[in-house]
Amino acid sequence: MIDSEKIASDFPILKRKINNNNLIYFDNAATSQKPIQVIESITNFYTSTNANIHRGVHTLSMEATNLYDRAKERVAEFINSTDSESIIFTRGTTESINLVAETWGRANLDENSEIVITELEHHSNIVPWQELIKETNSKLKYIPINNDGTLDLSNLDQIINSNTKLVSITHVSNGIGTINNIKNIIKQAKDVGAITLIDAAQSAPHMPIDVNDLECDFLAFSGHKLLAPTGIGVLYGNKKLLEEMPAYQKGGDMILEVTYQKSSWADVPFKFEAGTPNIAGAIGLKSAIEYLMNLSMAEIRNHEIEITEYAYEQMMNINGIEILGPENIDERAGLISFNIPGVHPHDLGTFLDSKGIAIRTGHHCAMPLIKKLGSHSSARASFYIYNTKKEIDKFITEINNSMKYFNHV
Amino acid sequence: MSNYNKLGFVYKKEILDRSIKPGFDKLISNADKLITGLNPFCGDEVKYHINLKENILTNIYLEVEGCAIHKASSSFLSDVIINEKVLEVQSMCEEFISYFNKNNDENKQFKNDKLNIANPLLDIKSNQIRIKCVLLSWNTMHNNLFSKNQ
Repeated sequence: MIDSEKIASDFPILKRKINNNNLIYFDNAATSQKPIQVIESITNFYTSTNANIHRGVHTLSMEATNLYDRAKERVAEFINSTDSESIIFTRGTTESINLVAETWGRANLDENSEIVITELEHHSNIVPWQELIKETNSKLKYIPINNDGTLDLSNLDQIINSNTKLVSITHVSNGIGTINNIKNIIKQAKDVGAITLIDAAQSAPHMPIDVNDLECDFLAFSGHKLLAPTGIGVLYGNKKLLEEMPAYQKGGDMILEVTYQKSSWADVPFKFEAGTPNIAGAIGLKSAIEYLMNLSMAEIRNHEIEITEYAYEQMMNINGIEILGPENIDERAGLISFNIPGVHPHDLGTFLDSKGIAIRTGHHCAMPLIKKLGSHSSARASFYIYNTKKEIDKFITEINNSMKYFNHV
Repeated sequence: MSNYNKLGFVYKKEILDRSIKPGFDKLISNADKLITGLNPFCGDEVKYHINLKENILTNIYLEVEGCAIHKASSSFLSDVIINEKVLEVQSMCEEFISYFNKNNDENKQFKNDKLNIANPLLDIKSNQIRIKCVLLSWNTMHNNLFSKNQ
């Protein structure tokens, strides 16, 4: 059982007043806030352990290396991977997906190849493939969505076929919160010999992830959405594939041997981590994952089901509201995208901000999706471990007030 | 009601009133010029149907969708430019846009008094993210009044 009020006390920023109101932070799908434990892990690193990793024989370097390596072990544990060498640190989900596109993609796709994604994707899982198909003359296909924002899998047999080389899909839609049944899609992809990539940016922070059970080849997520600092992210990869893939960026730390004529690469995962990595970020990520695992990812999901259902039921009572995405809570993560009559999302966002409530407004980096659902923008409230029903009560009250304010009712 | 006051800094009464009733709602069947603008990021959209007589904007029919600030701003712009010469409209749009694009908090006195109609919008300069809502119509007008395609 999650005690949100107790958890909130670990987050210094949640004590802040915004426009003379207590901050209610409902923009967690954009980024999460950071607990003091994570903040202190970074401060402690810089005040007592800072050094470069994997290259010094002095005490600080060994301690920093140890912390960095343990961060990988913790990430592996977090997604139930048995091998921390399958974990590559990146800047975030976007870089993780680009890494796969630019290495595996360039090496393995040709004019007969097809990449399959869905209509739910974040721009970061659309744009790299749009660029890659131009270079490789391959094709990009989309699994369509139903009106309720769930995937229409009725023609999956035709969409994923013998030409499919890669299926890259989001686990949870950042735009409307749909949870996809990725296990079935991964199975179908494997049946035709395709590689699979899961964008777990919106799922890894909120529910248990098990790469062993999913049997995906790649899985990407960002640290900053799960209590860690910005600029650190993860690409999990099937070790055999990682070993076969060409290097990504080239330079220091990723080499085995360099002569004036040629170079050879270090083993996986270092082959993919050129230059000094974000060591402090990795240490912050380790601390964040420990914080989450201590709460239990299953309990976090239960908490989000409870408050999302609570919010959804109350929001449905708002006259004329349109909620995007699935009605069934089992198919919806802890976020609600919506539009209310007579109040543009940007006006609602500014109004709620004046009450201390932070939500996201706009297209949520999923322009084609929001457009397909018949809109240019929506308001989005997204919840996390520190959010409470009391906060949702105030949120609902202020949505109603905004309608009076803007419509002069 | 300090919070409402704070909100009122952006949403002045004139802005709220014009967002509900932007005016200029009489259809023009024989427009000489159609000027359209869209911000695909948020869906703010505007269409100005204009009658021109000897380079003077004699009649405007305004169609506007989007947020309150954009709707009000489109309405203010209509009041500013009606019965003005095309060249003067260009010059007023430039002056208004440049007020929002300059970093310094310069004097709000415009050279052309008619621009003062739009004064309720000026404090939105302090809300960086909403400046684009103010300026969509003004940029659209400025960039397209001379265009043959629109």
